[in-house]
Amino acid sequence: MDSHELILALIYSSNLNSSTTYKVMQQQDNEQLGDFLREMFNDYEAEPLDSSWEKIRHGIVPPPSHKPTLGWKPWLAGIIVLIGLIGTFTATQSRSNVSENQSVRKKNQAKDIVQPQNLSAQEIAGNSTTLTNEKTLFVNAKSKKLANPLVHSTSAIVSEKETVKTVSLNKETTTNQQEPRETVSSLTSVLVKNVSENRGESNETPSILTASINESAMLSGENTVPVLTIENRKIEAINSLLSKPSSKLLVSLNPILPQFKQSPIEFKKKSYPLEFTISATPFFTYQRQQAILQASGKEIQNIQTYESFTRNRAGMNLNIGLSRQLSDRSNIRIGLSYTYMSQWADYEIAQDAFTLRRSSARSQDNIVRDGIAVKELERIKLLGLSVNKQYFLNPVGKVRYFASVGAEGMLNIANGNQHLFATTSIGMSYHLSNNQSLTIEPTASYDLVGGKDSNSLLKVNPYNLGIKLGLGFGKL
Amino acid sequence: MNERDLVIACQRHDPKAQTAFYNLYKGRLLGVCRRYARTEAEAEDIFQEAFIKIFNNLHNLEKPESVAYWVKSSVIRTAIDHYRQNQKEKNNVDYDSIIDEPHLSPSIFENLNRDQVITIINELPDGYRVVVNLFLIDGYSHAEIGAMLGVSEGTSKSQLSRAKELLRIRLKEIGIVSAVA
Repeated sequence: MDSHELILALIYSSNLNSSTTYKVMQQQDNEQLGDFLREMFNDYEAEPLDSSWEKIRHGIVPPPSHKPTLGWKPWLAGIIVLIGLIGTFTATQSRSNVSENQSVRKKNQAKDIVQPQNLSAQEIAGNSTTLTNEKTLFVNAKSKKLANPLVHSTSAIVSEKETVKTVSLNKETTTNQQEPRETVSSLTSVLVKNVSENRGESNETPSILTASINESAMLSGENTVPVLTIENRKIEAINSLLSKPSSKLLVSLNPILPQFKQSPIEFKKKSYPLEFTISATPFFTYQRQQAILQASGKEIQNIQTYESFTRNRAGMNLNIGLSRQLSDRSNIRIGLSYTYMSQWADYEIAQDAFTLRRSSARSQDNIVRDGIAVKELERIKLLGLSVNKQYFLNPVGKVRYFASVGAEGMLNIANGNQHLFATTSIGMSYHLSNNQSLTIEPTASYDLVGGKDSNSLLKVNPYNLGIKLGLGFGKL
Repeated sequence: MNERDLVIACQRHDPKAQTAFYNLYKGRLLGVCRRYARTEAEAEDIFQEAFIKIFNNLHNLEKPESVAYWVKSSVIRTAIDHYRQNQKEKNNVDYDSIIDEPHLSPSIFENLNRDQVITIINELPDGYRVVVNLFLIDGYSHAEIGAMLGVSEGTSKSQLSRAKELLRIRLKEIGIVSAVA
């Protein structure tokens, strides 16, 4: 104790009444004590527990991944995909009709429309001019009136004066609907007019130098006749065609349509509708969990799980898509989905310490390994593309029962992690009206890829059990 | 890599940098926690909680060169938060019984080692311990302490005075005061 401190001690012990002196001494006291303590603890360090860093590391919020804002791009991509799907299915449907038309046409050719006749090359090569416009011809004719004016009008299409770009050549049956007939009527009037012009009032020589032929699909009924179109394929026509019956024209076209006769054509009896569907699937998530030992170097123990039905397990899948009937007993469904679900981890990281615990029930001591508890719960959002196939049983009234299998690829919006779910379901479809149906469908899905979207040391394969509620709308 | 680069790397959430950062500051910061906490376990809790806050808020640090002061402040704030949470535990010290005791002389600490001193500080009631740490060791003013703890400046002063009295009693209990006196 130096002299200064000794004086202070003496002053203190003497209990002086002077407040000023007391304050001064108190200040000096604080300074000295503070200096002393600061000096003592200036470089004071302590060693934390080994497990501290692990706990801290798990408490650090992961970096805001580069992501993710669900801006316009994903929506644009979704719309493009949706349009693509609609286009694909529409095109598929059109091709189906073409096949159908070809088949019918082939049959009708043999029956009554096409009666092969000899047509000389000179007749074909007569006075010809050039068609400047690319033309497609559709001509309808009643099957029992082959020589009607409409058929004759076929010749009119080769007139260079005519301006009709699309004329259809159809055989109209008694079962055909009104709309095509009206189309034919209007076209007929134009064509007949052109024919009369070309026959008597015009001195010009109508013919075709360049035209083309193919076929297109415009038919809807089983008995409807084939369609001929002309576009960009060279043919020769002659003026005399104008005065010949339609069968001759058809004969004259036949040699340049070998594909109609040669290619075997598969005939489909029905065209199947396409439905737009929306659905919502509330579900509960369960997890198959396993520790990622290689990555962490830690030993995991006491992996816990939630009770079977808790709020943390709840999730939702929303889907919009298309359903295309493949046959009387099967459909294919393609859709875009948004899924909101949970992923969690509840486990302990084993420590190198053990605790002796007495079991009250057995009066027995147990050695328990200590562990650091880790609990994580993360809500993840996924965008996905789903495909599945439905297999139907026979309808019972307005209800059809079905089973489905498929897959759903998903992308975590937050971190880009990929998931591939195998899906299966059984369900029933109730037809509310001709164009509306309601679907109730218990569904199960399992993530084949698995992985982890959180920081946990567990790899999880989630599987979801839910009930899908869907609506189907109309025929596209 | 200097401290500044380390901080910048941590702000990019570089795991290696975070580990290095932790290793760099863990000793010092746990030392601070030990002073503010009543027990080693509580010190560990404060330490871990403070470090998590530090990492999660490090991106807000605009001047990486001031990181040492910033992390220490973070730890102290966390310790104060703990103190507030534990305020239910009111100490039942009979202040009247120590009022007439002779004043504590700072020199008596010279006979103690650091572990003994920290043990004595730890045994102080929560409020006193915090004020002793804030005022005497970490250099905060009574006004600042009052703002941090949500008390008046006068309360801070009186708590410091009583804390010193209690320190004396503790020292007396282990025979140091009498030996010095």
